[in-house]
Amino acid sequence: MTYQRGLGSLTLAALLSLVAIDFGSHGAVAQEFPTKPVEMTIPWPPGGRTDIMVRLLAPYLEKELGQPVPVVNRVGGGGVTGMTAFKNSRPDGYTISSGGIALSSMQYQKKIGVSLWDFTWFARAYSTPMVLAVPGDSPFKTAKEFLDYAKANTGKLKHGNTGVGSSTHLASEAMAKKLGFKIVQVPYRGEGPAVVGLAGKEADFSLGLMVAFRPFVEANKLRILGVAADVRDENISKIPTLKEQGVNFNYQAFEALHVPNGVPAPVLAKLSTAAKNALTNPELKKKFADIGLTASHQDGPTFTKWLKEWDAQVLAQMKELGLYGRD
Amino acid sequence: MTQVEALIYGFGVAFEYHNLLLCLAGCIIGTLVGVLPGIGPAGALAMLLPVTLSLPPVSAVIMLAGIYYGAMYGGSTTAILINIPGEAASIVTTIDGNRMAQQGRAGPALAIAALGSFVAGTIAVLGLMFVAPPLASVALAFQSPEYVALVILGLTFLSYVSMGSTARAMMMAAAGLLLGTVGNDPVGGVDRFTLGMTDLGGGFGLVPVVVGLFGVSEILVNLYEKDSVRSFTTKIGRLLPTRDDLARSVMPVLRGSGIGFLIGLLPGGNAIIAAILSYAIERRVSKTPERFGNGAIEGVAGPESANNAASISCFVPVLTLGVPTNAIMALLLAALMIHGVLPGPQLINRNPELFWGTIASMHIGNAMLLVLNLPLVGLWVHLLRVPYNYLFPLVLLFCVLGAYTVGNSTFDLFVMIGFGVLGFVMRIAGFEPAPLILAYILGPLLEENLRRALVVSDGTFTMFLERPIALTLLLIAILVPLLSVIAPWFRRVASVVKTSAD
Repeated sequence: MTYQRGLGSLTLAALLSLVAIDFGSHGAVAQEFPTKPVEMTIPWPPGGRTDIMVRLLAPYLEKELGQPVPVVNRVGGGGVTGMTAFKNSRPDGYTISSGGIALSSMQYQKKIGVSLWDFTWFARAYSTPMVLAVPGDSPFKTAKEFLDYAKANTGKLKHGNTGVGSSTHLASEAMAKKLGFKIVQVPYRGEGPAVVGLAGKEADFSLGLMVAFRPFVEANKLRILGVAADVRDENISKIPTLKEQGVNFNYQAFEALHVPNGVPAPVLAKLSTAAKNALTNPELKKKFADIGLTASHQDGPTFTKWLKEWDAQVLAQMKELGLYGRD
Repeated sequence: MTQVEALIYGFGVAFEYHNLLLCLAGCIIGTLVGVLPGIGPAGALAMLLPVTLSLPPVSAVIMLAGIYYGAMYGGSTTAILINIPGEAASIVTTIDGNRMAQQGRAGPALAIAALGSFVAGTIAVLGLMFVAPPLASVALAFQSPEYVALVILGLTFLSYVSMGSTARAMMMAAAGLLLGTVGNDPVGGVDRFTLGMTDLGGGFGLVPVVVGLFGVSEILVNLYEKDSVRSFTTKIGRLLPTRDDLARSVMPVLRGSGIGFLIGLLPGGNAIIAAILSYAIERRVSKTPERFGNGAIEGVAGPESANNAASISCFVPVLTLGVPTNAIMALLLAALMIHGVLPGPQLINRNPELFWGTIASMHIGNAMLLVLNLPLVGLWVHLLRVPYNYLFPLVLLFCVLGAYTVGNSTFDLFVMIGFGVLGFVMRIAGFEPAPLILAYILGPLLEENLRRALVVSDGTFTMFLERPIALTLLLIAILVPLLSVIAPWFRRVASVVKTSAD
């Protein structure tokens, strides 16, 4: 009998503790989030654009959240491994990530099992306009000259992209289509090689971020013809927009913070506020500007709306370019 | 200011208490990381990145640089002693280095590797000071066609990097080329041979394959052939190199330094290519090429100098052009950018303390590493006495750690095991892994650059005739093997003529 009673109270205690734990986590999550470090997971190797941006941002998020924000690189499959692991992680707000533009094209190129809508986007980190770069001794001195030549010699100009299906690939094709000429794509593996190829005149032009071109521009190996935005970018205000020169084309690279779907609303709200405060902090804005990124926070709902349009655009473009679902 | 004044200024920065300590720390960590098979500078740097981010930029670069070239020193240690390269660039060193260890000459091999690395490092830093910045812009002339030619040269020379039957080495090279095609097609973006596994999108990777093919398979082979111990040997002869060793090593070290320095300057320049070329050249110019593969000291001196020189000159494109030559340099760039130090040609003028301080600390680091490594030769060699049942699990542990920490991916561990088994089967059947891994690395480079060059040239091949550097490299790649085939024939004709003239 004592044995049975012992067993009974043991079971009761076990059940009670399970319930307590269950209650405990939900309760703590809602009111006191975060109570432990919030991991920022990156599906790419250290040293890349996202990695740098996130490492700049992390200390400011730490201040806002009051908990450490370690940055973890989960590498593999060109980003897919990390994204899949992140998608399947617990939606408790303790794992966040950054990205967006890469996934938007990757999800359509082949079956990767991850889509933009597996995630809840709670804050845009930056939206930086691309610039049009040509080799330093290129015959084109203005964007208008470039456009005129492109139209008169359709199919001849070569664009150096940072990878098949990459943001620069899509941007250049969008530009060519909008302005009415054809181009040839010269593929590179990543930004570094693409910039070197352009400086070495293997390509006639490249669209990309000023961040990557800057050292070469300083060395006079590259020339920037214009910024693909409505207004001049404050960090490179000397460079006119393409629009000013009669070339009507805008394109930007962006990244946004996100969590897997299913994070409880109060936690999401806390993350959103923390991100907003961190990204609008003038100190952080200056750090971003130093490396050529324009920190431009946008809240979750507004960004998500924009993202839907962007997603549709990318899908249409991928189909048009024959990049859709090649597996 | 002149170069000399700038260097003195740099030494002032480098000798600051904290920079000196960080240089030493970097060198020690680098050596450790290089010695441990599997864990390479990339893994160490990734782990240490948070630490370096909190340091001032000069100190961060000094430490990171120390880790990087320190790893090149350390990588040769395990390559020589237990036939497992500490990092990919030391693959070539395993060929003659391990043979020497089996002959009881591990000491001289290690010592020459350390000395050669020191000389190469010093030469490379001197080159950095005087020649590098203008050379960096010249390096931009090296585009896709030139890379094609360089890689073809490397592939042609693969036949020199094999010990036994050339036919078998070529079979392994072919297998390596095939394995290199797995993953994303560089031009079309289509996945090849991934069998639906998204983890293979980027190919098998480098570290898991090297660690599996060399590390895991080495242990498996040793377990299999328990009586005839292949690479772990208990024969320990003298520790110091002989006069003869030193004399034989002078030219290889100098040649290796030159080759390594030049190749490291190229954006995308590879220490591995430098090592292959150095080994092939040493074998080619040697009066006794049959010694190679059987413990020729030149086969250690040349490649080790080459990979050290390359590891230093590869800082040039990084600092002056902001172009990372490999993953580790990408990390370095990230560390710089996070501190608001912008790479570029203005770096030397804007942040002279960074450029010259780093150069000065490279001199100091090279000296530190020589002091660290030479006396340790005795220690490392006696490590071989550790009983196998302790040594093997430890090595295996480091292999696993190395393969995993690259990307926190368990898939990489499976790749490592798979290649370990493959390597074991290969070796039992009498095939060597070196040609396979070298072709595995070079193949994708060739494909990517060739296809891109063809896109740029609109499908014609004439650019190879029009571009001098590419043409020269291709001619060397064609003529050198051709000559070695024709030469005996010429000699025969010459001797026939001679005898008929008598």
